[in-house]
Amino acid sequence: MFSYMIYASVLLLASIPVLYFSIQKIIAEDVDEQLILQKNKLINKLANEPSFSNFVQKLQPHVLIEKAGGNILIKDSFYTVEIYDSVVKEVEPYRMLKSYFHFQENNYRIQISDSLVDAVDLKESIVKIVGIILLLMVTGLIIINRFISSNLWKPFHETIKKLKNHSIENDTTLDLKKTSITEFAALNDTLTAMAGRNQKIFQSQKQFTENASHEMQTPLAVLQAKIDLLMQTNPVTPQQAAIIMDIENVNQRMNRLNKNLLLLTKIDNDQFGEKEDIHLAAMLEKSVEQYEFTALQKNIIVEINVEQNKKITANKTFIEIMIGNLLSNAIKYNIYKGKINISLTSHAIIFCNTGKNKPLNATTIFERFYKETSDSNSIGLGLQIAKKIATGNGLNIKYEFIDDLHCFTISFLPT
Amino acid sequence: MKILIVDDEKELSSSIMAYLKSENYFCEIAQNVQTALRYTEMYNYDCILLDISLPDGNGLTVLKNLKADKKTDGVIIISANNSVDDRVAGLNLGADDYLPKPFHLSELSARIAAVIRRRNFDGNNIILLNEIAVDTTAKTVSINNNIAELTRKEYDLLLYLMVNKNKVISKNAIAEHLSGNCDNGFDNFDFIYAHIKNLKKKMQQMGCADYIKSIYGMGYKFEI
Repeated sequence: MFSYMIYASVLLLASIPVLYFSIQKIIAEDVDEQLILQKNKLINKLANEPSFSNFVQKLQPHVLIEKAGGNILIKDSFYTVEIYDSVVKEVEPYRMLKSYFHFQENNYRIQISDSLVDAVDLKESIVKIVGIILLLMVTGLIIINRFISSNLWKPFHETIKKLKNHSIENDTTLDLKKTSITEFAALNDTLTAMAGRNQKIFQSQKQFTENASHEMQTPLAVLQAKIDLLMQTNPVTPQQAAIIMDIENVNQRMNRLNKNLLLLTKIDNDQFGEKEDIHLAAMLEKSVEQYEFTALQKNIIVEINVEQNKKITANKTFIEIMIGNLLSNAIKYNIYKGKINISLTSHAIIFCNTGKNKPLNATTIFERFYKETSDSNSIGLGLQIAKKIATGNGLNIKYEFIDDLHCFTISFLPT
Repeated sequence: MKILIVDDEKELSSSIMAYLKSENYFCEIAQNVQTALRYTEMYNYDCILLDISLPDGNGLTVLKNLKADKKTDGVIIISANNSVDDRVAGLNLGADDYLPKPFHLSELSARIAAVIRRRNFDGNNIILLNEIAVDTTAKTVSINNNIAELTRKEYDLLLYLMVNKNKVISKNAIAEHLSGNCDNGFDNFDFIYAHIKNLKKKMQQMGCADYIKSIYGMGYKFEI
């Protein structure tokens, strides 16, 4: 669109000198012909005239006939001269014909002039006309282009918009509008097919994770039961007891891992269930009470500071899990005799805890299987679960290291 | 005491049966809904352990049938599908408890004992073991007819050990039972040691024999 306009402008501007010179040439040729015609008429008239001096006196001011001595040039010659015009008080260009003729044994020179079109005027007119054409063309192009883009490209822009809003995780199919434009119709068909395929792959992958973790529960349950039975066997040597304990611990870890994976797939599958009003202050108190026992083992002081008794609408179980995960992390990665401050304000829940004296990586900690320590008790799913629950319920979660405290902020969206 | 285990996983049912047998429970196993329905129609059980996903249908059918027949068998749902919906559906249908798989057998045994106690309407909710008497309604412990001053955790711990008497209970199982949550793991088990120590001290001061034994750091056993 832009290049079209530049091309048209360049072309039009280039036409200005071309037009100027060719028009000037045509006019000059025309004037020359007129002058020759006039000269011939005068000479013929003079032949029938009785008195030469009388005739010369009656001539118009632009014609001059005078005696010429010496050599006679037979050829006509033309000049362009600038003459001051007393009427318009301007110097005007004139075309002048100089010619010689023989009359009554005398040689005469005839000089006839005619005004030419003023070059400046001509230039001005051409520039004006070209300018107007250019203006009309550009506005016309813009209008036409607008019209084309709003109509011709409409289905394309609609497709782009749909694609932007389309998420592979949602079950909704990519519903593209029908269009009469063949290329866009083909594009839409291809995109719909592709989105459908991707969704299918994604669904089956999710299904696989869910099924796999689900199927794992039964063998894990059997293993747990067998370990419990093994413990009851008699006699058990101290070495055997140590091995049984190790198996038990690993199995516990596997159980937790599997439970969390299952939970994660449930969240991924958007199984958020029923939403209800949750009084966050009460829920926080309940969660702290639940973890009080664990916190006590490290002599951690937990403080809840409620600035505003905020109420949100979300799935209660999931929000409980999210708060539980954050609280349990705050305890797990805390120091002995540390503290945890939980603040509930009108816009956020903030968990701040003492711990290692250096900030964590604010982005990677929310990733799956990310572990800050090699602690075998850490699975590396807790924060991702918390984040997914937050995002799924329209909350935002972020990590900051403020005043040597590790702070997780869950902010509510402005309502 | 009669227990019906409705689960299609043979290894799990047989393990549960082996564990419960030594606690004087008589167990029967049904591997599908049809067998379970037949058994529950013929006999009364003190507690039924009910899996939800069975090869020939949903285990909740058995529960619905029991309620329709106005039977009072206690029911604990043991399901691999730890979903809120399942839990709510099961409890709404009248199940007494819900225990997601995998679980510790000691925990299952404690839940069964609790269900049976609750179903025992003649008011006799006292567990007697020699000089120890636990009143599960009042949540008090008497030793040689004197009320012992136990904290809530100590009471829970003692009850847990007593209903699993003569069984080694792992520290993990105790930690989970006492904290009520198990999704986050434990840094160490020092706190269990502290609780056990306090409990033993209190009991011995009241003239109680030393029943609680540590088994090679694996766990604890109430030996009688």
